Amino acid sequence: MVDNELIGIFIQESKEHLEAIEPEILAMESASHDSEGVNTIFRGVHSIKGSSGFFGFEQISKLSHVMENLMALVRDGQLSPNSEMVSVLLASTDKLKLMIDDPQHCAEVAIEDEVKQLNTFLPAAKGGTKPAQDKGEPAPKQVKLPDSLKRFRLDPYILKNAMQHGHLVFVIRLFMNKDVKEKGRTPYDYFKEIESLGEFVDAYFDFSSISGLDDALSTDLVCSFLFTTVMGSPDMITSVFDIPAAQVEEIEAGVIKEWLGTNPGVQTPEGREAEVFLEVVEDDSGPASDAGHEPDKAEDEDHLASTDHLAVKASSAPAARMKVKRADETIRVNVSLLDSLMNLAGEMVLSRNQLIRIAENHGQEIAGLQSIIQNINLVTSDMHEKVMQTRLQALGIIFGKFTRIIRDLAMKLGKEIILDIEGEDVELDKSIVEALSDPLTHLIRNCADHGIETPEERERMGKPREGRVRLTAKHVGGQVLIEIIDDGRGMNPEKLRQKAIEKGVLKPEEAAKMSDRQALTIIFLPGFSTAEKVSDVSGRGVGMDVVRTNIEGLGGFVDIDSEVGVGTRISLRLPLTLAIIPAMIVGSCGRRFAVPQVNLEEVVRLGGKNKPEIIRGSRVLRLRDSLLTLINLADVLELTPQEGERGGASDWEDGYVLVLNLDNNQYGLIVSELLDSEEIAVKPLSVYLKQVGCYSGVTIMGDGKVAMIVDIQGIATMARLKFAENEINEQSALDLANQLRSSDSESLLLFRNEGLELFAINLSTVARIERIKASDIEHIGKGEYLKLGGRSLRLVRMHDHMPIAKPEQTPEDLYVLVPKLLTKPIGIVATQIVDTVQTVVDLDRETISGVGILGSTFINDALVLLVDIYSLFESVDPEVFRPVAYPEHFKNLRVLLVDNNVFFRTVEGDFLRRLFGEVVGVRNAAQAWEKLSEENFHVVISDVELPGTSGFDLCAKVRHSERYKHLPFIGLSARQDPNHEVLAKETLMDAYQMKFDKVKLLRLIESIFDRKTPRLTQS
Amino acid sequence: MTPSSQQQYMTFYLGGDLFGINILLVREIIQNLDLTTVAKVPPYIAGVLNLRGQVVTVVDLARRLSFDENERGGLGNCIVLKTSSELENNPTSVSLNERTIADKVGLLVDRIGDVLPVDAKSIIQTPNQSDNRLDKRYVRGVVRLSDQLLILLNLSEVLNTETRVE
Repeated sequence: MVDNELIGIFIQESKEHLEAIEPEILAMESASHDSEGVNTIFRGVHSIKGSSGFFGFEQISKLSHVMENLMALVRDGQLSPNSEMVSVLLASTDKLKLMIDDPQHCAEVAIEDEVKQLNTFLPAAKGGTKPAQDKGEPAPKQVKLPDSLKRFRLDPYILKNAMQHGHLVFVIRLFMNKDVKEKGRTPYDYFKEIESLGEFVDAYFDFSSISGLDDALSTDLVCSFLFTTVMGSPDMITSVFDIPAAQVEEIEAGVIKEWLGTNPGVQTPEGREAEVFLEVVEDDSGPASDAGHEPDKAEDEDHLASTDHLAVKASSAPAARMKVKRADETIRVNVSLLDSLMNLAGEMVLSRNQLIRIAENHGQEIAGLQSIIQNINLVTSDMHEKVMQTRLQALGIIFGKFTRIIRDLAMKLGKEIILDIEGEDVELDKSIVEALSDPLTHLIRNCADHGIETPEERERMGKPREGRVRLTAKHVGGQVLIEIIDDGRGMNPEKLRQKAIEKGVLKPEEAAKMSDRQALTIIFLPGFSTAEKVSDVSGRGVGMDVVRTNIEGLGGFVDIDSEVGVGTRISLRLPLTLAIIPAMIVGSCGRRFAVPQVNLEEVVRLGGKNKPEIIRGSRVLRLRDSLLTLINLADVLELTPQEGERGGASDWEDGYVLVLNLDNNQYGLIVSELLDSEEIAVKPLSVYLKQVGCYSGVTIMGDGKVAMIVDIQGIATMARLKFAENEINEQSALDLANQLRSSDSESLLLFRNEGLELFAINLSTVARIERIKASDIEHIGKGEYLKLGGRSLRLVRMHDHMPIAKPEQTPEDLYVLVPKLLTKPIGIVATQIVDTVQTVVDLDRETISGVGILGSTFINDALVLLVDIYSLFESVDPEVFRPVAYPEHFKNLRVLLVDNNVFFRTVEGDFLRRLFGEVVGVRNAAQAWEKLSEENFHVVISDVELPGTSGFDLCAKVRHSERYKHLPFIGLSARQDPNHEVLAKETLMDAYQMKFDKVKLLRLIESIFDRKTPRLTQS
Repeated sequence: MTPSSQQQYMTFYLGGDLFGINILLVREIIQNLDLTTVAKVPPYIAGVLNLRGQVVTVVDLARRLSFDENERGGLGNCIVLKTSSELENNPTSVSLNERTIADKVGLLVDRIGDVLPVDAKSIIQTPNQSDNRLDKRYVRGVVRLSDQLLILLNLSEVLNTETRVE
């Protein structure tokens, strides 16, 4: 009879009650606690007690009964909640949860501790500390109860309440076969019915009528219910429940009153006040005349003021409680029904669109058609929106539990933490809300565990003892922004870098390259946890990367910001719903594609001044101060335009560039047409389309045609665009360029230092170009410095060191070129960035020379001076940049320098020539091998990325030859690539390092010769 | 064997050959296709179409079975299959030992034939004659009809993305 379906309903309902109870229990501890909250708890446990008793789940019923008793006292102001009580109540709620998860086995759960602890708060159990007025009372005498009442657990509170309102008390008996089974109802239906008519008190199954197994089948099992109701007579009961009058028994009010007299349960110091209080409680649920309401209210507040605790609440948040939702205003609907409703609504929108299009042509012919269509149009839109809303769920559902988590953690960790929650009413699609629960829990735990310091630590730092964690949600431009902000110790980028290197998550050079802001994102790398020691609270090393994956899986983004000693802010951006997203509809080669607006930063029309340029084989667009790598959608998808279609190669000239944002990286996607901007319903990809890798979904357009939704990341991957993590655009363009490079041409950055002189610097030696104001520069001693990413960068004005024109005055807007990978970088000040060019440099070293000048060349008929940053820096800071002590015997060594890039060959060559006896420069591996077989060398220094045979292959060849197998071989690279290090090891290179850092190079050579005795190889 | 070992098969033509799939697997048949081709998909994916708000991926069956281009007749008939969950929720198809996939898929065929009853006993599991044009993996069996052979497709293999087209 009590089948699984019913138990399912019981579990679901009880869980909802528990969810509603928990925040209220927590609120009792704080100032924000009020009588309505207490009432919620009371009603919740009462309801659980009732239904569990009905199902015969003794343990659940027992525990909830004790909780109910306690809450009754709190409600009546006889007990003031304290943190001890809250803890016990929370523990009991947990036990209830545990049992409700598997009610059939609830008997196996031990609840004695909780019951005992709860009882300590009850006056009866307090023994000697009984309230004074109890002393004079006579010992409760046993009232003779009618037989029908004996087996019920009577609830003094409900009964008293019923008596006060003149409600009647009934016992009904239901026969399981006759009344339940045959009428196609469930006992639970009766239970619900009783709840709607009045207050359920208790129920039990009468097994005594069954004498044996045989009997069990033939005897109709009886279930008895005791309840109070507003119904005035037994006849009404019989008709409502459709049972014979014999099964209904009215309990005389006198009996109940007599019983109440001896079992007061509700012990009130003064009857009148208690009455008033009850009246107020009743206010929310029962009928109370409006007249006379106001004075009651006033008294109510007086009453509340008599206990400190409640008084605070009365003044602090009187309005907040008013909007408590009534449970019976909602109905339960299966989610799958909502899903299909949403699909149908989607189809309806499409049909509407088709209808509108067809009707356009017939609007004049059929009278009234236009207005009908108009109406259908509006109603459909409205309906679609409402259907979407049915799937929206308030974040409060998951936010609620965090108060508890923070409380528990704070106690466990000995910290004092206040959690502020804002925006619980922000709604998101149900599936997103569900999927957010785990990541948010993790983040909140992290705050409490790692973020917030101990109270002592905080006091020492001059912060308030109590740490604050703020959890907020708000709508921002069609998305929901959730932020978790703590005022804890913050994260130290330097520490993160070190840790990442220690754990092998990052290479030292990679870590060094990251800005502080970027370094914070290290925590999102797989296999990284900042926890000093793994605790059971958080930090098992599988945390933050999973958080990021989850959020991104929902179409969202995670961002982090932190300052040491001040706190950390983690922001999550999420789409409102997974199903409908705003998108830009674009066209290429006659096809239509949808590009999610979330990723779209801006759109640039090509043509006129906006012309793509080629840097080392890849096309880029100069967009304000940065270079944007371009990808032509038609190229990636291998589309060719048909007759009369736009797209493909011509788009480079007059297409549109969608500037797309991808994890702080950008690229430009070139399409032929911009068609529309609309909200599209995302449909999942079939397995066949998923494996293509460049679509993220599919959608149906207004005209009924299907369009693919472009996967921004997939397209980039497909175009082999590798964004070095958070590298600026110049770099990604260069990475691509480096891979594609096949000629000797170089990309040069042209700039001016006031006046007309044009300077050039090899773009790959530049890490960043910063735009600054002259007023940003700080003067320390004679030097000029710039604060950049938390560090001071020394600046150099070229005219102070080089034989060039000095400007009369410097403008306010300046640029700083930050060279790559120097031990101590110095920024070069420029007044204007002119261009970047890809060109083969014909270097003239004779005509113009001097400190910091490598030579001159003509680019587009203009004379350009190539800057030698090494000699320039040496002149600026000789101590760091001039190698002071290098071994004399270096003078006897011959060096073979292999580099296809004339710029490097010249710069490196110049530098090496000052150290070594002779430096021979060659362009490629073939020439190098020729030189090696003709002459003798002590060391080879080679670029690893040579055209044709690579530096690694050259090294392998050298190692395989009998003559040179011990020859010191150093590989240099202009860019960082983990594969290079592997290859360097495999080919037995003596060393492998980045170009540009000659101090390091020198040390390297020294250390190699410490290990190997330099000797001339013998022919 | 129960007496109801006879099952209905939906037949269709690819070139001159007659194929059949169990009709319980078929959701509907659409003609006058408005196919949208998709770039970069495997060659046997003809495209996608809008079936009353649902997106159906259409498999070009001839290409999937590696038929020669010149063997193909008129295009434009699509057999839309039930999804695996549609099958699970339908008690009549519980007895089927064939399964489709979770996505909505249609098969592009040349011409739709009749619905024929096929007795399980008449299915020849391993055809003796070697038909080189057709990969054995795609065939569940053949049925000798009075005038021609009916080839019963092994749908799970045809729809499996792991199966490589040689």
